[in-house]
Amino acid sequence: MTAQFVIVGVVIVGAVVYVSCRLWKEWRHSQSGCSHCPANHLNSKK
Amino acid sequence: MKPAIAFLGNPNTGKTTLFNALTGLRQQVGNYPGVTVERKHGQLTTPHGVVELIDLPGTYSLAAQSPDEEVVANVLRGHQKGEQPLSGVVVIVDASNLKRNLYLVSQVLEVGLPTIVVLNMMDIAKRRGVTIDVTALEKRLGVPVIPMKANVGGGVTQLNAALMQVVAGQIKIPKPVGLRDPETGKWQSGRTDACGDHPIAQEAVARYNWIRGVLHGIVFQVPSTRSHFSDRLDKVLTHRVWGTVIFVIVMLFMFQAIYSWAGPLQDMIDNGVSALGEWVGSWMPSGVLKDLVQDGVIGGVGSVLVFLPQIVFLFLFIAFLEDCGYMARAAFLMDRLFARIGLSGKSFIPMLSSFACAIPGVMATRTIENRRDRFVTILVSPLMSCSARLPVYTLLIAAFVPSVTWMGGLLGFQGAMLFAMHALGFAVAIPIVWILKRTVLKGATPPFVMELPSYKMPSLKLVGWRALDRAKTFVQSAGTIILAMSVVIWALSYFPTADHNYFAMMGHAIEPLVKPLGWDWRIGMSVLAAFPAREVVIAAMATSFNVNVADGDDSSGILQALQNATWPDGAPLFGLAVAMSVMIFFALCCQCGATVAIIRRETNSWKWAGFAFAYMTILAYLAAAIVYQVMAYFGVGI
Ligand SMILES: Nc1nc2c(ncn2[C@@H]2O[C@H](COP(=O)(O)OP(=O)(O)OP(=O)(O)O)[C@@H](O)[C@H]2O)c(=O)[nH]1
Ligand SMILES: [Mg+2]
Repeated sequence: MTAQFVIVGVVIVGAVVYVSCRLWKEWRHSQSGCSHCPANHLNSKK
Repeated sequence: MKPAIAFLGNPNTGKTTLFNALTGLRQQVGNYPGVTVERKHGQLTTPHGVVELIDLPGTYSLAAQSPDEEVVANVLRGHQKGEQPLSGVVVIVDASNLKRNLYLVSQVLEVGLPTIVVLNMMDIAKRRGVTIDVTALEKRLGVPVIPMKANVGGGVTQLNAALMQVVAGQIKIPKPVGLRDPETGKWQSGRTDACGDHPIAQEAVARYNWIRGVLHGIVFQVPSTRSHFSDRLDKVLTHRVWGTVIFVIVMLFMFQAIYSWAGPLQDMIDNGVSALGEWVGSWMPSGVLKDLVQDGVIGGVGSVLVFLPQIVFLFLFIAFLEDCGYMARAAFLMDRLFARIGLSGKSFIPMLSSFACAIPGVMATRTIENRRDRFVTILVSPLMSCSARLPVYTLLIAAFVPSVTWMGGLLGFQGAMLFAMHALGFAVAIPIVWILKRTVLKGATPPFVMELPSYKMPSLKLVGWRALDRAKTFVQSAGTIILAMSVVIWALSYFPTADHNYFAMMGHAIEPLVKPLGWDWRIGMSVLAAFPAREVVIAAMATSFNVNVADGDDSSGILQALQNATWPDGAPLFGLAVAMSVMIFFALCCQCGATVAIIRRETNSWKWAGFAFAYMTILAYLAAAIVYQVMAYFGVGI
């Protein structure tokens, strides 16, 4: 049971971190002039 | 340092097609001007080493007017930041339209770089009855001229050989065209009359005189019947009445087809997801981990993933219509309407791209010269219904709009509703443009000359690629941001206890805010959770309406969960009115962090990004509230 809670906890923390990173990345992206937009990333493998 | 060679030419001449053929990349290609708006790099491996190829946006002249054209002029002159000086240029010209295309060539020849001229679209030139004496042209221009059919790879070998000569330094810098008097610097236009006095006019006259001389006696045109047919077709397709009627029918058919054709595939994915849920349920010990996997992960991601077929079909259709040349006619059709509100048809192309995704749409505004017009277009582009809204519409329409079809299933009620939702954003954009053009972004209506591309048999490979790329992006987002958000929402609605969870607590707090829209807290929270990415709303609804994929032998879990949802007093929660208010909110709201970010970047100001977000959100809220209240007042769809 405890093991289950640990795994679930890790997954939740991971998800929260991921969402925050995504938002952070978007913010950074709006600051810079890079062309690696989500919709464009397939196009920009330089 | 690797030698760099740039590809430039008029818009829609096949630069990117050729660039892709040489580098093996898959940059976007489309049969309308203004597809490429950023420079793109690729590599060509030759026996003499690697060459860096640069694909540039299309331009008619080196006198830059719009941001995308500026990039071309800067790269060519070696002024672009982060770009090395070029070793050579390849000018791609449309062989069926040499006269206009040579204008740019005459300017490029003056830059002083080794130059290759590619005569692309030889097949179309031939179809139109144009023959060109290539050897004579080569002599007159003083640079290698290579005939090409880039879409089928004809001529690529010769170009490869010529590129190698450039790298090896075997191609001389062309003699300047010499159109200016070396002493006075005046254009030698041969005209001194007052109306041609302006240097720009003088330059144009001088260059066209030169072009006439170059082409004299080496280009022959026999009248052909084919082009008459395409002219007649254009007359109908861009006709104010018939063109509009045809456009609406094409759209109605497309959206109904998305329903009818994607349905069976959708059921298959749905069954697969349910089976996976059951299988996991059969061996995992019950407990918190099983709940997470079943309800959070499989339930959340699975409920979004079932919409993959619709996305793929939408993109197949859009790519098909673009590549055959029809979309450019639609843009032309819109020009008249746009002129009345103060924009030109040029703004329609970015708006059209925004139906796929607002991000490339906002970037496509770089082809617009006037800064204010560009900003107006940027501000309304996110109103166009992007493909991320499609799952929301299809789900709610499938649940609450009767599936009546006519004409053997070609047209139908649900398809018409889906079309209406896509038309809504466009319809709302019109008064907004009108207001913006008369207040904060005042300015005259820009002139617009749209070049209609020739009709083509769409390339199946290209169309397939577009759909495949999109499918990949969709699956990727399902596996990343949607997965993560699903887990977060699941956690919020699971802890501290299933009955008194955080999700519900927050939901009850915001319920008064969404009550006027006819929503309960579960809808409100699901919509709120969708601000990082729109598709999340479906995963969130799946979680908050407690759809358990495992105990569904019915393949439409979420659909029925929505239909059966009730208020605490037992009255049904959803009806057409609530479904409409949710859809309208989605149609108009700027629920996309990436779009806000790109607006910030392209306008270089938080002010405009904030403005776009604020006006769209307020508009969405008001429109949804009004529609719901009116429908409720008349007792429709409650
Ligand atoms: N028939 C024919 N079609 C071609 C040829 N080369 C390219 N095309 C088509 O022409 C259209 C335009 O091609 P693109 O490569 O996007 O043109 P581009 O010059 O990059 O256009 P912009 O980026 O908008 O300036 C596409 O539909 C191509 O499939 C050709 O030699 N013959
Ligand atoms: Mg291009």
